[in-house]
Amino acid sequence: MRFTTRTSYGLRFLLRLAKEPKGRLVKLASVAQEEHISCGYLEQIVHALKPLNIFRVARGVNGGYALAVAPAAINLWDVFLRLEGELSLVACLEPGTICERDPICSTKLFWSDFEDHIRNYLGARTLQSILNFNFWRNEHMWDYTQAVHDHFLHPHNAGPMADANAVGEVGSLACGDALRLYLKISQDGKIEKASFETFGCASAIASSSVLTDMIVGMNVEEALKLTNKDIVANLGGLPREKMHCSVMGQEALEAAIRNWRGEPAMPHAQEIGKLVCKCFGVTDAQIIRTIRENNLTTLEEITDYTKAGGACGQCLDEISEILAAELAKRGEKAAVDSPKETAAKPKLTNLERMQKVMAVLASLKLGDGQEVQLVDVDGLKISVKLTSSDTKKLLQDVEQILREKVEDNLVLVEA
Amino acid sequence: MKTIYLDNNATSQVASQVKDAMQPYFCELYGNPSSMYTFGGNVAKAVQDARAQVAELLGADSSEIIFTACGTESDNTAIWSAIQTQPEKRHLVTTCVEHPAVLNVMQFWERQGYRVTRLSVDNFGRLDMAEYEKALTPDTAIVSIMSANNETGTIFPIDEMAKMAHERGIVFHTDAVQAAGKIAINVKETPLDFLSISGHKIHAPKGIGVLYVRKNVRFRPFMRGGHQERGRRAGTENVPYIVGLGVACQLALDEIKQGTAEMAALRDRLEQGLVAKIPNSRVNGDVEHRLPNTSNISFKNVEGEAILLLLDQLGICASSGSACTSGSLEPSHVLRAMQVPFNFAHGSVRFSLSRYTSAEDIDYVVENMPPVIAKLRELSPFKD
Repeated sequence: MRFTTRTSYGLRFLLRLAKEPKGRLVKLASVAQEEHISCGYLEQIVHALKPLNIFRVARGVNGGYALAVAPAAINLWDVFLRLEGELSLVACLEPGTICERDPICSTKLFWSDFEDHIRNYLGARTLQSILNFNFWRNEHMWDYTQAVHDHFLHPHNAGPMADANAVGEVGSLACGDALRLYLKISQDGKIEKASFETFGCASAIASSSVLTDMIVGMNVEEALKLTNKDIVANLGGLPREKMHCSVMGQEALEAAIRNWRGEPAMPHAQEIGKLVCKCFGVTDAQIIRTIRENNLTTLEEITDYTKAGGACGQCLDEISEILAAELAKRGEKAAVDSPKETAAKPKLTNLERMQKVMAVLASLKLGDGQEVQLVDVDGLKISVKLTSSDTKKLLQDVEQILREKVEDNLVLVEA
Repeated sequence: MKTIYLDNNATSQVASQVKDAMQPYFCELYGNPSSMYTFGGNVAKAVQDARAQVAELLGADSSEIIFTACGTESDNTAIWSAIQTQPEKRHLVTTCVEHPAVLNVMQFWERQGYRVTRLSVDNFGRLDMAEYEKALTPDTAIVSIMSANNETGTIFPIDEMAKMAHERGIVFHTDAVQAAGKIAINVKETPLDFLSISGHKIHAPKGIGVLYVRKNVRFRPFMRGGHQERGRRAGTENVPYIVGLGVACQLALDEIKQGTAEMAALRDRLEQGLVAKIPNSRVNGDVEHRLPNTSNISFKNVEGEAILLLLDQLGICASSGSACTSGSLEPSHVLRAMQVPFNFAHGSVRFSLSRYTSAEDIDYVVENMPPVIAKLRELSPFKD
């Protein structure tokens, strides 16, 4: 006793459309791939559903499917009827069937009552009812919005971009999240394509995914006006302790645009400011900016948004002072009138440094019984674990190689 | 979708035998064990029986068992008691991989002016006995070291360490919340002064714990009030839960006697299956000396919370020591203490089995988890 896969696949197709942001088109082939359904079979199912007029189709390269009505307006009985045909639990209930046992049948009334229950159950429910079931299954525990969930489970624009002409990188493995944003920007400054690679939690992946959706079609000036708040808004909100994921998106976007303009990966020295949080590499300038853009008022919020002070906590006093100064200033127009400094010598981002170090370590030609394992990259300090009969010499040798191939002022220490 | 529960070090299913044993003590046998009439006396008898069952699991005497509300209360009480009864001693010894129920209590006393030695661990999560010996001083009020680590399952040589403390007249406490009911513990052979147990880790409900206090060890109560538990822990006895815990201890003892090789074999099947199928993965902890139910595996270049959420989509429950799931911004203190390289630490997943885990559950995870890691690695900018 079971319904066919036509119905279960058909519902999955409709749910997939329902979870897209309004108006966004989805390709049939990508649904088939993500949901592990044969594309040909899905086409048949979609064809059967077409007379319901519940979705619209756009043809062409950028075409696809989207719901034409709200999920609450899609009646499940209608969908089942299209995909399964008329309900008849037993043969004698099929319309037009005349059964000679009818006058004496002891079960017919039961069967027809049973059928009514099924009709009424489905007739009283819509696609939204299924979404509501999922709400409880997925959302309750994790405190993420549906949008975060969808962008995490089905990220948009994931993967590297071969013809990108702007790349922005922020974060690091040591920090627990990192984002590399690829952009294709036209000569007149319009963002034509965006894609990302992200290492991090669900909200980091979702922030990256939604960011790529948001910026395509913008010109760089518009894009630079975006803040982390816009990313949060497009996700329908983020838990407070995950706000730093949205800040990472904003920073990657700025880094990519700097990259496109031929500016150094790091902002101008004046913008970099002084390093406050050594654990996560956060400067006073970043903290002040985040305080201003998000109207922060507490130390805890600053940690939630920037991660600063979230590890060893040694810089918390300094952050308090920055916050106190900002709160005192609030309402007054900041009269910042410092001269434009020339760009600092291009420095590696933590991410770039780490990748280079990893690549160099991987290519080392080591003797028998020798091993070098990367433990941490903390600014210019690289910690490694060494296995060798003479670890001191190995340490010196590897440091020399890293200084030649990565950065001349690196320091290698044993963890 | 079927739920595959592999997070038994977090909490466990209440055994049906436990639930059945508790049932009468809610609506029928609800008397107060301290009352004079038979209706209360019958209940007092049930509490006594449960106390004997708990004592048997530890090889202890019934009079050495105090019922508490949880493992955390037991830990707090042991350390409090040692400090209050030896006011002249100002030094405490613990490890850097304890549960917060001990770590944060130690930090509290440190702020009150106590000196705390936190023993380090090596890459496999093992303690250095020479370092331990050096830490024991005439000024040491108590040593508190877990029997087995909750994140990696690594078992510490509690027997040897307790003996070393005893030779020097130092009070020894072990947080056995993860070890009790999974490996044999016998206080007749191991000179422990205090030992903590939590009910909900061994198939009893949440809200019940035990503190074992060796006979003749000086004691000061942490909770003051009525004369319950012979004045050592005030508060009306949580009778149904105490009865349930008694049965849970009995079931656990039966299981230990039968041997836990089967559970360990399932755990190994899971671990070896995943490590074989997923490149760049490694097992954390001391695999030679480990609880039979625990496996901690790191997957390089992916983040733990993302793994857990995708596993959740498959109905698989596990936990992670990654920054995003630890409630702080850094990976778990245990993995950091073991110096697990950061590109592995963030992608750590802990699986913990129970007697209810089946071979089918394990095979389902081995089958379905590799694509999850592959998907996240594809998204990650770190590829090597």
